Amino acid sequence: MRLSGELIGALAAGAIVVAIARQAGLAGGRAYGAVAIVPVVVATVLALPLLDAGRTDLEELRAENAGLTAAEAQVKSGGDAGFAVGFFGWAAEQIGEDETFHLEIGRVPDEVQVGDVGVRQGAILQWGMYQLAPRLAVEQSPKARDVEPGEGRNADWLVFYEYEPADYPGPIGDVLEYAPGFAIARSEHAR
Amino acid sequence: MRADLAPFGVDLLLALAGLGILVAVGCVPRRPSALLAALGLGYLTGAAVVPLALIAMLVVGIPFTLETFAAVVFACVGLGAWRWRQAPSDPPPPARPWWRRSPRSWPVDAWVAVAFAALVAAFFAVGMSTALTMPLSEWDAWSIWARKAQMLTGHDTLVTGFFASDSYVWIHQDYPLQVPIWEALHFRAAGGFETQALLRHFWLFLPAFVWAVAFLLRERVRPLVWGPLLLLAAATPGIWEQLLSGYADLPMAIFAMLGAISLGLWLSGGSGRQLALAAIMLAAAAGTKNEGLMAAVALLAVAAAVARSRGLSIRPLALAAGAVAVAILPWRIWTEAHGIEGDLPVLRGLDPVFLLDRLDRVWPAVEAIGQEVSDPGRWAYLLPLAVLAIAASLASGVARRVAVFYLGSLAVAAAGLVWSYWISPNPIDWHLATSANRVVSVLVLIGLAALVHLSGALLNALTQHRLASPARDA
Repeated sequence: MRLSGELIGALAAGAIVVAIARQAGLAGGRAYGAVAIVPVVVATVLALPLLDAGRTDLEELRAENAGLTAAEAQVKSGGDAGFAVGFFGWAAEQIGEDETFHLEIGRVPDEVQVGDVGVRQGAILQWGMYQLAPRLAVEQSPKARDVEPGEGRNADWLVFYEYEPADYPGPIGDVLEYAPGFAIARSEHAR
Repeated sequence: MRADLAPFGVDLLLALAGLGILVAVGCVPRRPSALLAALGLGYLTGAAVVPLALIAMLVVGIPFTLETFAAVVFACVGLGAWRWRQAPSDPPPPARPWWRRSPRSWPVDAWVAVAFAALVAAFFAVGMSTALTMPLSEWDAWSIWARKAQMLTGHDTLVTGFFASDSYVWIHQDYPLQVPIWEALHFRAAGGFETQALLRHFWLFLPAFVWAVAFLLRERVRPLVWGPLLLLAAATPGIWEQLLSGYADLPMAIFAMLGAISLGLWLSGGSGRQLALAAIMLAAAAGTKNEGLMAAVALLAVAAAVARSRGLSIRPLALAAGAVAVAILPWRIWTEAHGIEGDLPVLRGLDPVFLLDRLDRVWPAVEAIGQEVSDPGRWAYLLPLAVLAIAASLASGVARRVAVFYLGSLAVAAAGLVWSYWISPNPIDWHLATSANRVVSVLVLIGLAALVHLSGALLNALTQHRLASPARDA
């Protein structure tokens, strides 16, 4: 294991320093005290190149994000992951901040499941609930399963992501469509 | 403009609150120059105390607003001001400190301190210019920590439809709120939830923590030692990269490290003021992450064992441990009252049958933790160097009591991490792959505390520096 090698190396360096210190006439605690030279020297040797490398990395990061506006930065993570951040932004404009929502995400045939949770659906769910906050989600669970009848009926809004509103197993109000498969609708028990 | 500048006002107020607390507990001499020297520690103390107070207030129903934040800051500053007037005089400062002399007569330590400050300041400036535009990209940073802060920005209370709702069960509702509260303070000051304006405040932890360590150990460790070591710490990618991720692991590790140093100082002949600071920092560590609670328990338990074995009274330590428990209790009561359970089956994790049944998880955890802490590209040999300093102290008797404390703390904290992987319900490979590189931060930073503290004691023994005697014990 790498850790063993590093520990042996450090202890060996310390032992050599103690031996040299004893040769130089230092005794007892003073000879062992010379061991402090090892970390100080190692730190001095390593710190400056690391600072320089860190500076380069930081400058590259800065160049990557140069010109990124606050609005773009806000949704960059979701956009990079391939989520429909434009749709969620549009939905957030339609739904009042004190209203609730329920998110329905369509299944894909090759949905990878871990436990009972679809990885893709779970990720979209997490992002969608994040972008729609501080609006609260209700009757929501990570899934990759068929939606149960009535699920989401107590939310003010149903949010359909890659899901046809007509497939929703329950009554819904007028559908506001953003794009095919992306829509919102009032739920059965909307306030 | 407000989004850019006002959140730095929050940082300033946190620093003022922290300085007030430090003066109140006697950790800072009552001189303006000492307050300036303690600014880094002051910021971290404020970032520890104020969110803990706001969490307790939220739990009892006091709304979370900028006004309540201001009231808490005012209370902390008032406490410090009261103490400033009440306490007997501090020892007089050095008659003619080095910075008032001609640079030609500066000692080597002064030059090292100046070079250290210049290099850290330059690195900080480069990092800050990067942090100013960085988006919040790391998954848990937005999905767990910022999401909670977002709710605490949009709502003044602990909305049960979020913090205790089944719809949000995957956000780790049991996780403590120290970081979300700290983030939400910045968002509220900015006037809204704007994540691009967040990481620049995480970046402040970098100078604050090296500054705090140098200040805490100023009477025990010469700049000749802490200068290079803390410079290495600041340059270590495992530290600065994490600060720009928005994860809570590194802030937690910083609080735990400062708690460890405070306990180390107490064990080497310190007073109750170090214990008070240890309690503050360990409460903040425990209030930041559940792993922080484990680290706090490990540090306090090992300190108690060392103190008892050396015939020290552990009553003050018990009081400090009690203070930690009281500080984190409100959130624990709230989660308990709302039926929120954590991922880890802690009670089952003490059942030998359960543990034996999952024995195959132990070695992968040990191996992964060992691989992570020994990654030179990430941690720059900090832990092996710490072990060397501990070994030299144990062999020589220089600061042996403190060395035993750090060694024991590292061992118990590492065992705690292995145990948490052992009992976790998550698939071990996935769990290690997604967390081991972060959770080891607390081990490395406790190691850093040992490295700086003990290297200073060893060098004092070598040079028979006048500061050597208090650090030496058999």
